[in-house]
Amino acid sequence: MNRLSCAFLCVVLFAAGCRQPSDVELVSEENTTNLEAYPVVLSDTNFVAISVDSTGVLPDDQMRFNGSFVINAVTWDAGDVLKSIAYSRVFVADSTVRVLNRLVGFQGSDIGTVSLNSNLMLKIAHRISLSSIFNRDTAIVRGVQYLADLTGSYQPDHLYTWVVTNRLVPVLTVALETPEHLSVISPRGGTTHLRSRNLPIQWTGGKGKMSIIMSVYDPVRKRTRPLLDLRVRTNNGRAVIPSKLLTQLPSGTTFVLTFVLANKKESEILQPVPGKILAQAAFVYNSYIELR
Amino acid sequence: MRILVCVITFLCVAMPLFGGSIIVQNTNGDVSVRHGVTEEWVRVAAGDVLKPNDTMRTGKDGTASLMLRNDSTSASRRLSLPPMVIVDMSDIRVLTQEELMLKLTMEKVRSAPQQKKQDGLEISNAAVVHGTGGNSKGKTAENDPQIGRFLLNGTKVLLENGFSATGVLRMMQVFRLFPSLASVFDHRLLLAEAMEEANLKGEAIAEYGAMTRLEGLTSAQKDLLQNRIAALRK
Amino acid sequence: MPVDRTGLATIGILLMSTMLHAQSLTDARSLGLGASLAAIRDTRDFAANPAGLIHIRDWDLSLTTYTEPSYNQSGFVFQGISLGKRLFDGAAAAFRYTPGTNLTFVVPPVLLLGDSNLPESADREFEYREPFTAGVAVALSERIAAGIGIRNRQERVTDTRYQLIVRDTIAYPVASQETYNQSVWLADLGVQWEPSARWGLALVGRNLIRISSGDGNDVLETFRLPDKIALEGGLHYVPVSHLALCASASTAGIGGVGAQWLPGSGFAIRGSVLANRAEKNVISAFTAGFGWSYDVFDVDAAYLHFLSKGTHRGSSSLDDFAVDDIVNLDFHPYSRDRIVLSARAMFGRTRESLARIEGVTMTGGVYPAAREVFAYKPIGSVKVRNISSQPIHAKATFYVDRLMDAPTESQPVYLMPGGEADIPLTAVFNDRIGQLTSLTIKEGDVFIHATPAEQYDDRAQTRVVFHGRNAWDGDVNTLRYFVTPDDPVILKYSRDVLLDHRDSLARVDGLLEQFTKARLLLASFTGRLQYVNDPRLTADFVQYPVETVNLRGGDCDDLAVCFASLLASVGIATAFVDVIPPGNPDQAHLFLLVDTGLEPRFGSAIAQNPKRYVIRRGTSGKDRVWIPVETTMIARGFEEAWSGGAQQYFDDVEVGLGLAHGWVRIVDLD
Repeated sequence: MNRLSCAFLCVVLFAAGCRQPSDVELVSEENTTNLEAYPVVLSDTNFVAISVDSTGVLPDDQMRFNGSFVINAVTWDAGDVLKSIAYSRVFVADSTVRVLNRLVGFQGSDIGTVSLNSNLMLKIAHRISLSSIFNRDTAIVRGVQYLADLTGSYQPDHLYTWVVTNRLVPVLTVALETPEHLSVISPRGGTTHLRSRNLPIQWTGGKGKMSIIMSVYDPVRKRTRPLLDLRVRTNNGRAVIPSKLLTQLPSGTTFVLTFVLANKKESEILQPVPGKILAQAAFVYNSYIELR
Repeated sequence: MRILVCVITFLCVAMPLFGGSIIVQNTNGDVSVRHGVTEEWVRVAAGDVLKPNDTMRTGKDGTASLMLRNDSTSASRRLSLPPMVIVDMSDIRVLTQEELMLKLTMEKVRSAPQQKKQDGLEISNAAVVHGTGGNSKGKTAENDPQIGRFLLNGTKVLLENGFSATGVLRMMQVFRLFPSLASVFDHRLLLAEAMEEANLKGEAIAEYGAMTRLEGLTSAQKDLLQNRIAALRK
Repeated sequence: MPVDRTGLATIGILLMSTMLHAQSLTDARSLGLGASLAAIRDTRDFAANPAGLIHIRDWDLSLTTYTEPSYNQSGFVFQGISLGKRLFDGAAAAFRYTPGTNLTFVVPPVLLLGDSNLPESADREFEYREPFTAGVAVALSERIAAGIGIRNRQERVTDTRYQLIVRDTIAYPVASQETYNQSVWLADLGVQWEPSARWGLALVGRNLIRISSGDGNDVLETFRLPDKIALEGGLHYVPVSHLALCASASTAGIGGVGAQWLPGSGFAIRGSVLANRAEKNVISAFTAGFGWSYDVFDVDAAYLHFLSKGTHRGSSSLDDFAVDDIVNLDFHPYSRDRIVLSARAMFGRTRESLARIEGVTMTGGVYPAAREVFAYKPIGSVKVRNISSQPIHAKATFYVDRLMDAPTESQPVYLMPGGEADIPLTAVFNDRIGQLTSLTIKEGDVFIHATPAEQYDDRAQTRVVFHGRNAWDGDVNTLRYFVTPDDPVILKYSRDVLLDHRDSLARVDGLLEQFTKARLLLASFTGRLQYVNDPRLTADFVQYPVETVNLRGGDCDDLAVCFASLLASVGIATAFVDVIPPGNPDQAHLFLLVDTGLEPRFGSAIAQNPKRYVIRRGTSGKDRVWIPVETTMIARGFEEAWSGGAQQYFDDVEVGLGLAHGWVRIVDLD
């Protein structure tokens, strides 16, 4: 083998080495990439949406849909106070409501009778808050909404069916399964957490899409302002909110982590009012924490 | 007494000639001399001083007497030349054994095939034709044998007078020039005996040996040669 | 205070346990050997001990590539390339570019940003590279070498930052990446000592000088690689030939023992075990490798295997991550199993010289006329010594530019190790040498070849004196080289003369033909020669025959050469008679002997007086009649010249016994 072919062989051999050196992954129990952060779009500030902590429905979603059929089991966990309710609400808008030429809400359409699993739902007045315009706690009534208190009777993983009947004719049937029970292990309500540390999140149970909505809570006005929509990628019971993000949250000490385990469905309807409706069965757990 | 004579004779014989002179004491009849390398014989008279490169010749009835004088010691001796001899004055000298050996060695060196040259190169410069002698058209005659006999007689004179070294060398040359004389047993015997006289044992043995190859040897002659060789070999 | 055994053992163990890898295992040979600190011999892994560079012979190039068999991505990574050069006898330098010395830690992203999927790869990334290394080695003595290595280390931390933009109607997260760079220059000092052929020791002080520059940053500081000063020691032992053992240890906590076996045919088999204090097991890894050497190439392969997977899987726990464990970027707790391939090539003067020229002597000058002599007779000699440990056949070649068509080779001479010999130099000159008109000094190149390769082992230059073409050293033996019987002018001349006399020649008896021709040729100069110098006036200058013919004159050497050429051109043998009278060397004289071709018994055909001719044998081996001719008397006629020559010959040789005594020399021109 002469020198030239030796040399050529060597060159070929080493020209073949063009992969990049491999990296070493440093993983931690905590560091599971399990959250996708989505922006939270607020509607017009005049529109005071029903707090997400109650509905599990983001304000933007509240704007988008003509109607919503929700059944929620909501828990508020502030540590020393733990409150759980379950309810169902049906609201179908047929027009917008403007005050002083500002959109403040929707007119609740009377769509007849609504029954949930053959139980009639209460038709009550739909109040729209004008506090953002008038800076005081005033409200107007436009239309109706339907409510049912399911505290005590709410069953997770159960089929619920709404039937809308107009003049004794069922015009719309919406069926949805409630999600499995969700149990939040961490952070527990009322806990204090340092922004400089990653915030580990742990839960059990629940099939289906899960989101954790991070909101800042104004204890004076008793209002929550959602900041981040953190969607869980894999429902494996663990997630981490990095401290890098916590440090970026606005000042304020009380934050709410709203765990929403929801089954959602969107439909187009023609009756009773044409448009898009959202059907959601959600388990909502609100954990109030202190961030320092 | 005998010893004294020998010593005196030796001393006389041992006189180097050169550093000496040769004077013609007297001449009788046809005596001539040839100077150097000239071709002519010229008459010589008593009282003439001869040089080493002269050659003296006595005719059929000529005789001469020479005085050999050693200039350094002022000693002198006489040399008589009988008729029919040719003698080179340069032969009237005594060679040391070393000189004799050197001369003989040169003969041998000349005789031996030419040695390889010092540089080991053997490139002929030209196609030299080595003495083929050409084609004789019959015009060229050999050297006159009479001159050869004169020369041989001259060597006898040398040998009789104690100049055995030069005598031997001269005789060798005569045999080269006159090959016919070299084939005569007695002539060769003379040479061999002269060699013995000159203390050339090896050469004498070689000569006796060469003589055994002569043509027409009698058994007596062969025996003689064998005896001589045996005697020398002891 | 007496130190008891336990104490000593403790110290020993402590020392042993502080062994951490500090050798950079950047090529297959070092990896195979495992503990090669004292076995560094070339650019392969010179960063481990720069002093090892002293062994490179000229240019040295090495390349390394590796692959990690357990990694999901296949393919080879280009580790690096090194280039070294011997500067002069006692120093060497090298430079290395190693893009493969790269350790990157990736902390996977904790949070992805919805639509844009940022950050893509990492929450945090630490990249450590050591791409450049330079080394210089100096031989302090025959056995000790020292080297300085300078490494450039680059550290980069890429940190993903989040920001939450909160507006009236929207709150959205934003991710950005911040990069912090730092460059560190580190210097190492290494020493290699070989007290005997069996032992080798090495000592390296690592990170003796540290100069850093770049961004200063908390994050960067936290993940900065340690660069504490460390001391490493290595041992290399050859108990029997073909087997080598080595061991090394470092205060930084790495060490190992290795062995190499050379079964023959250029192959090498290597293996080692390595220890790392940062690992749980005593023995953290083993290596196995083999190599093959052929001519100026080396190829090596090695396999590194970690016994406990642990952190060597390619991923590790962030919580357990300790940057202080990373003492070496090519071998650390996070390294994966790998297969390494290296190749090395030497260029330039790669062979060890086996022979050395101790001296060159020229035997005098060159006489162009006698140039053929030197094809056989030495023009000089070269003293050669065998500087290898094997017997060699050494051959010398001699070359003078332009005057020779090719170098002339001598016969090979067998030399034992350490042996010396004088090799005679011969030279075959071309015709251009005949054009030198005056004394010239030229450069002669002498080369020594001890092995059948194109390159030579040693070279020396010498001065060669060339005399002019007419120069003569005064030795009658070399005078014959001026004889040119084949010269066209000479040939024409002699033929013309003989042609003119062809009638008379036809009438001459065959036996006398040669003599007659000689007489005619010599006599033809009578009257034509207008000027004849005193004999031997210009003893060192000889005219070529054609020059003598044209000039119509010359001194006794010129004329002797000229006549010898004329006679030889028609096939007549001649001989020079050189006479140097004892005690009178200025009276030295030269004349000619001409072969008549006659047998002695016909001598009287040319002269009655036998003193006029000489009976001699010449190169024919037969007694012939030769006549002496005094060439300077030719102007006066042939007979005069003949007589003069004969007289001289008789006086010098017959009477003076010059031949017998040696002050007369006869040189046959044949």
